[in-house]
Amino acid sequence: MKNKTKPANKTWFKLDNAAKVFPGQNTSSYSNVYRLSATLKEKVEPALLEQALEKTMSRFPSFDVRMRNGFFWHYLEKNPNGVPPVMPDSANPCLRVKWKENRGYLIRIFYYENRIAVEFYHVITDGFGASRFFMTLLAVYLRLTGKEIPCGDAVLDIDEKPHESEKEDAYLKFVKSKAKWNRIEKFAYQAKDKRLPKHVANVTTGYMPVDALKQKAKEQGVTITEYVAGLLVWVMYNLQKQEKYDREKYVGVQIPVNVRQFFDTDTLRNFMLCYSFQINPKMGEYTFEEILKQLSLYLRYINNEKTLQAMMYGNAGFEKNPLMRVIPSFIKDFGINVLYKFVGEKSTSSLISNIGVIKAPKEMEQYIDRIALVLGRGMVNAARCGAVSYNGTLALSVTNIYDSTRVQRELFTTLVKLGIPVKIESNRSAISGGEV
Amino acid sequence: MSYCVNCGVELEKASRACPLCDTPVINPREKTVSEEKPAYPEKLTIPKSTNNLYLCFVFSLMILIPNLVVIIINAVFFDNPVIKYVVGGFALAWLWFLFPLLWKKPIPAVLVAIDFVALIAYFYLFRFGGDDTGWVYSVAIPIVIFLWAVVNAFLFWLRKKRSKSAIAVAVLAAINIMTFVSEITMSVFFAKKLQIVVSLVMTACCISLMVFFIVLDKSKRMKAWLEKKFFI
Repeated sequence: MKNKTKPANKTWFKLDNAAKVFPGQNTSSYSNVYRLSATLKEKVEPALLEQALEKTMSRFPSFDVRMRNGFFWHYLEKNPNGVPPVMPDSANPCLRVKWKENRGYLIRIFYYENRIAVEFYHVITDGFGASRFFMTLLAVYLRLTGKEIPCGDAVLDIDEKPHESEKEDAYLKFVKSKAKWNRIEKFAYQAKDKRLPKHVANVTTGYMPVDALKQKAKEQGVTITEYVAGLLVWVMYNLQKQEKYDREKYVGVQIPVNVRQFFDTDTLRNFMLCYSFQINPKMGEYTFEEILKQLSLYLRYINNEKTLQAMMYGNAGFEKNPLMRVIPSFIKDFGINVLYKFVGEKSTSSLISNIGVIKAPKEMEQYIDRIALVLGRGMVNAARCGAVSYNGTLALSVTNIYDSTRVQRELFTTLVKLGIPVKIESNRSAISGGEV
Repeated sequence: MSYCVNCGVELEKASRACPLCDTPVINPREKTVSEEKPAYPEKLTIPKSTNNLYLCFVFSLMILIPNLVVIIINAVFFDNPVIKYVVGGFALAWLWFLFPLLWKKPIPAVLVAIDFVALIAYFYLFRFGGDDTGWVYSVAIPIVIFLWAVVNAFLFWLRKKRSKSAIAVAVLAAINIMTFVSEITMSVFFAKKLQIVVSLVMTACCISLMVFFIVLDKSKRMKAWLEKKFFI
């Protein structure tokens, strides 16, 4: 009889257009990793979590993969090693990724007291896909603890067969433009300080009511993402002023945006684009309102299908260019690594990724206290922020590779001064005196 | 629930200090602070570095294969005596750079002793190979022994924790001493007279750098500025 499992085990697919650069950026201390974590109302049982993971993985074939090295490009292959290990959490989240660790999986699952956290290597998915996987895993886990949780909203049905469209590379599907979007980004100010040790970052999460933030944003005529991004630019602008440079640098923020709102796709793989906004302090004094207005107008100007198409066309050029295609992958990786090290993060002072509101079925909401998004450590940026709203609370996390807390302090105290109550949690005490 | 009196943010129940400004939390009404679990566990995960044994094995093979090929080709076709210096050089390099990878916790003084004995043995190769005009005993071995003494003295001095600037000053002083010893030994043997030129130029450079590091050691402001600008 023919073995039908073998071809399925050999299933492989190419990295999507955005993911193609991530393996090259990987170093011994840096990977493009982020984590979603949920604090439940009761203590997590690791054995049940492992069972939940086993049930969930088959619904998400694009997550059930390992990285392989092709001669010209890296590719993803179905992982034959069961499921990723469920591990106790540590004080330094979002460690770098190595292909052979973690049973070859590119997602990591952690538990700590009431919290379940999943870390995703950006190669496999963006915030949207990650939130679907995460909420489905939570729902399956809660079902195993005896709760009745229906499917719906961000929770997918694990008994349903995975859709082919969930695995598609949406970039290549929708890129039709023949015009490139010219990114003009200058080197930006970095709020540098004494570095924390390798593999360690200071993660501070502020929880605040969405309504209060929304009210403030509405007063300025901007969205929550624009408001927080504007606040980050304002904080960085002020920090640079305090340092009293003779020649002030640009101050900028990078905003990865989910573009599914413009293009009809079910993909659970990467489908986001990065917007960059910069101000030039040499032009004169800026007020917070001015920054917000410029940022919001700029984002609205580029936030349309045609510009996004042009951005995608520019990004797709890397993978379509015949010369690029024939260069062996290790040379490409080296080139990307060098380029990213010297240019990548330097054109932005900070980054804010807001994955928006995560909706869960009503029956599930009562079991989850809060959800947070934490981004991995950067190379030079002092503030890589992740934001997510759940059940009326917005969690804003700041990942800082420097010892000083001036960026997160300035950010959260500004929010408090604006009248938004903020509750803080951090790994600072653990990283300053934690056991290794 | 406690708030930071300085920042105005609400803090976790387990917080003993504000994570933003380090202001201690003093709340007489919150008596259960120590029972609450903090947001993150105390344990840090630091990934293991590359397997040293594996690295040693790979690089040893990379050295061994071309050397074997060269020895065989030389034995069959050329019979060139220079081959022993080349192979000896590779053996010395292996002992210096790859041998330490085999030790989990190498003892510096022992490692240095092995390295210097190997270096002296390498120079003896020239003597037994008939390529010595007297320079092995008169120049090479005295310099190596003196360097060995200097390195040992440096390691002894380094047993206590020293600042980076102090280490830089000590290294510069050692380089300067070694330049004098080398120049004196070589000039006496080769030129048959005492000649001190290069050492004086070197002394000028070393002293100016040593002054810079001494000033740096005392100026916290300068140190902070340099750390910020030139971190790696």
